[in-house]
Amino acid sequence: MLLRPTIKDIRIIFYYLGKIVFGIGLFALLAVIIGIIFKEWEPLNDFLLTAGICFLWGLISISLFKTEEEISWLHGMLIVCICWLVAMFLGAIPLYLSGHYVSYLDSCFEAMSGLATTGLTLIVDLDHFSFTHNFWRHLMMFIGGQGIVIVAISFFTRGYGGAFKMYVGEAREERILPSIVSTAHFILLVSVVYLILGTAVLSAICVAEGMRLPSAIFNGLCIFMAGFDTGGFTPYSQNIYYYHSFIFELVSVIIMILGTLNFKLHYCLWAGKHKELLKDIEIITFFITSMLIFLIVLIGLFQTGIYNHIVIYFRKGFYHLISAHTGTGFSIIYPNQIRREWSALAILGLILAMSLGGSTCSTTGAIKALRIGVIFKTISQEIKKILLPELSVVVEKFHHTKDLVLEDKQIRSVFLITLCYIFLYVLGALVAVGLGYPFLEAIFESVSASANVGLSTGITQVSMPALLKIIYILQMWIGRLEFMSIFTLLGFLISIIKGR
Amino acid sequence: MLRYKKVIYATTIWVFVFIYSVVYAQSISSKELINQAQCYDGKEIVYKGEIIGEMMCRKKGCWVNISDRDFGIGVWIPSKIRFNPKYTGSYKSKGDVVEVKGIFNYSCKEHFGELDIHAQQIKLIKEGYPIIHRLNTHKVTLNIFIWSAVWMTLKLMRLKKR
Repeated sequence: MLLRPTIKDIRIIFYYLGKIVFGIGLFALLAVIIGIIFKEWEPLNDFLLTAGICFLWGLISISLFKTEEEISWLHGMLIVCICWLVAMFLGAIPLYLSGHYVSYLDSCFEAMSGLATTGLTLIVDLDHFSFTHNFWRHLMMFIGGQGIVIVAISFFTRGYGGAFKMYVGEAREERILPSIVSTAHFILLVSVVYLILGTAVLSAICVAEGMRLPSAIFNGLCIFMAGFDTGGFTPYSQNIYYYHSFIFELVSVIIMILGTLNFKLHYCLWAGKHKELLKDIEIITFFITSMLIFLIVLIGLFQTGIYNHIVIYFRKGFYHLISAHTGTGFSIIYPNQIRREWSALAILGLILAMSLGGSTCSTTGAIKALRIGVIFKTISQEIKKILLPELSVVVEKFHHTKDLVLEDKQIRSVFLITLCYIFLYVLGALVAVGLGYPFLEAIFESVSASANVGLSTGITQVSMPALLKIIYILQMWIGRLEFMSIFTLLGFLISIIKGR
Repeated sequence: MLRYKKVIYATTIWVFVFIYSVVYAQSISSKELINQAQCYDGKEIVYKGEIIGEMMCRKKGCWVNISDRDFGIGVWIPSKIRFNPKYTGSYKSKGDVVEVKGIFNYSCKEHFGELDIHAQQIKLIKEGYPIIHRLNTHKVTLNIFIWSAVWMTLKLMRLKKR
């Protein structure tokens, strides 16, 4: 029997939602600072307006629905699910006011793409976009990449029990430190330290490659935020190709790989446990899949014979493979070139890399290396069961920051999530094919949106049908939150209608 | 005599066509260059567009990115060509529109496989200009209204606490 939600449930949801919306307002104020630095008064106006709306909403919500009640699993999941949609609508306001988006739907698409760290874009004339708005696009990736709720937990809580329930709702299950608040603080600390170091290195390269200092710092900051959070937005329409720098590309590859590492592994590295890197199932799986798919991409590229030197095959193939596998979406060629020049095999390699993704408890999307590792361990276990005598007990172990035994419950959960992802990939492709796009491009774009990657074959553009824009928004949202909180929301909506 | 006339006519037509193609060389769009990149590889082309971002100077020359609104293409300007744009495209300015005559490379050997144009000549077509963004008074009014509402809500919350 379904229970209809009570006023108490609504109070809890709106109270915490109010706190998160207030937090989004604080981030809009960061963009205001950038507006002041670059003396961009009109964009500053847009962000003051957005911050004002967030504060008003947040304060009203907090005072009207004030509650001391404990958050249940249902509440935690619902708050996360709804707060991502609310953040999209609020984050889209300054983008729409900039006049660089054809419709509010397009700016919502951009906001969700930023928050979900996807990187697909519908902006018109990016090269004349203000620094302030551009900073906001990249900041949204940083907020979304760390997790909106993580940021909120870090600033607004002192350790209430419900924090863990919201943390899980945002597709993160692992506690790095005993308390969830200290875990959230650690994730933010790691990100901020890397942010400072990464921005410094990228800015120095930009200066060495001929850019002016203020512009170099701005570009370094934006590219770091987009790279470490495996987002893929860039300040210019030519993406990474704008910089014409091999060293810049190399550093961006390192940043993408750092972004795809599990925060728990970052903790181990910080604690001096460097051997973890060689033992962890996620790292091993990521390395093996990267090498195998790189081979596929290379063979696919060699089939075309388009480049005049073997090193160029490696440069373009490897860069796009890492960009796809880490879920970033940086590119050093034009989207048209992937569609027109790369062979079907090379494109399939990229689709495979995008669909697998990076580590759990990182900023990447998609199925993720841990699940792929568990699937292979399960297959190995089943083969051993067939080969060994019937009475023998087969125990499969793996190392993921500690030695673990493969359990049925875990296998079931891994297969369920993997199946959901495959269904999501196919769904988006079906809609695009139904709207008249070729299959290979449709599946490429659908996987790119669902796995929060951002590479494109050219389907994602302002002129694409509104239905497809909505489908991609939903795919980015569902793919980022990894289904459970979305299922909870669906159940909640049904209980409003059918519950007693 | 008739043969001479034919030769003179043919030569005149060839000279006209040559002069026309040199003086009024048709520029190729970025879309055409990218979509038919392999056909244009190693050929001399004319490309026209706005300079965006900023000029990035290195040891042997400078990079500029030139966009014709569809795509931006990197143009390599060797040090021997003196070129200094007054405006480059950004939020605050419309960049200089230039016409570049040079060699198009689909996969440049000198630049590690980049798709680029090596400029031989660069000509200013239209000078850029600063873009003045006026403050939208409706947004300012709305801001004042919303921030007043925020201030009143805060006051009410304090009163409620007391």
